Amino acid sequence: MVLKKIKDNLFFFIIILAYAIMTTINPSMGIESVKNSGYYIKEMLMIMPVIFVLTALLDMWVSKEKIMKFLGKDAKAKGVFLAFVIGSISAGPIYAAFPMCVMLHKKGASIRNIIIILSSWAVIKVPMLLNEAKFLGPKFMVIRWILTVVAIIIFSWIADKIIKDKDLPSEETSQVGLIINKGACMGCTLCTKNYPELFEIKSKKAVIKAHDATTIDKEKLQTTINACPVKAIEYIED
Amino acid sequence: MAISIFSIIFAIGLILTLLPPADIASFVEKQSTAIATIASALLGTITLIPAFIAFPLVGTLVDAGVGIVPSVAFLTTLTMVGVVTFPLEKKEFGVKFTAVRNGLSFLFAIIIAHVMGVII
Repeated sequence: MVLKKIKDNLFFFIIILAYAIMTTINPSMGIESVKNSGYYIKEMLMIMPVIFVLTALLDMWVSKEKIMKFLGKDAKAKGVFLAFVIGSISAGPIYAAFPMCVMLHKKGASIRNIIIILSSWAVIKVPMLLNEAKFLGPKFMVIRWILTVVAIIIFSWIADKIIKDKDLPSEETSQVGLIINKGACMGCTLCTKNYPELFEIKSKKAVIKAHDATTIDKEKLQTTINACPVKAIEYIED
Repeated sequence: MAISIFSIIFAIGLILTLLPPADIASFVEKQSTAIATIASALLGTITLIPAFIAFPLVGTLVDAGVGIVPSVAFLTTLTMVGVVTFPLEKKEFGVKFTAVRNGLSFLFAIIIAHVMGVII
């Protein structure tokens, strides 16, 4: 039990151990390290609420579902712009964008637009720009933002010439019913809150409870699927 | 999630005590810009620090005198290129897509950094 806890949080325990060793050898260095960390924790706690609120507001104001309809292969300039919008307003690390992009590609989005979404998701998050301006100056932020957008436009075009649609794995979705993409799930527990009868969290990932397929509340399930921030839930009716 | 973020912050606090920002700055200064930039871009690809911690961290380093070019290269590859997330990306998009996207992102991160160095 204790061993498992240590194994799950190995990095955390190594850090605690390192602090313990350093403070024993040189107490002033231990205090210095805690002070250094305190600065970043203070900065993080100050910026986090702003980032959370902005992200939630953007998510509410801009309907991702509507934008996704315009991302097909013939979307041209408008598609490029919208791909930037989707990537820039979304929250979470880049791997949170993978399942959504796979889904968009299946629905006809071009390789170029998928690369734009992934890259802008990674680098040009609107709430993060504030953070960048605070610590590195507005000039730094604006110049880096412009250069990054230009770079993404260029290299997404290059990538589109190299990668063909058939290079992407095409999974035959023969499986019907309810599926959770374990690689994408971040264990945020939203699904268990929206539909506790169907979902539960086991070792930090959502799993589907044993259920009778005929009793699924479709409307409630759809709400849950839409609520999932990484679009990890899929339901294929048979 | 919270535990891993705090672990990263305390690790940074520890590293900055052992390697004060001023020492890092004077070490980077001694290298040629090209080597410093590629090294910090590589460091960015293998580390997984949340962006909201990376900005104050890079702010500290720039204030201590670390050059703009390596700092920008680090910031850009940190978020855009991922060695740790490579297997996950490969599974979803295939090897070619993942290699091309990460490769181009790395290359352009270095170009962005150099252009930034010229402008600022």
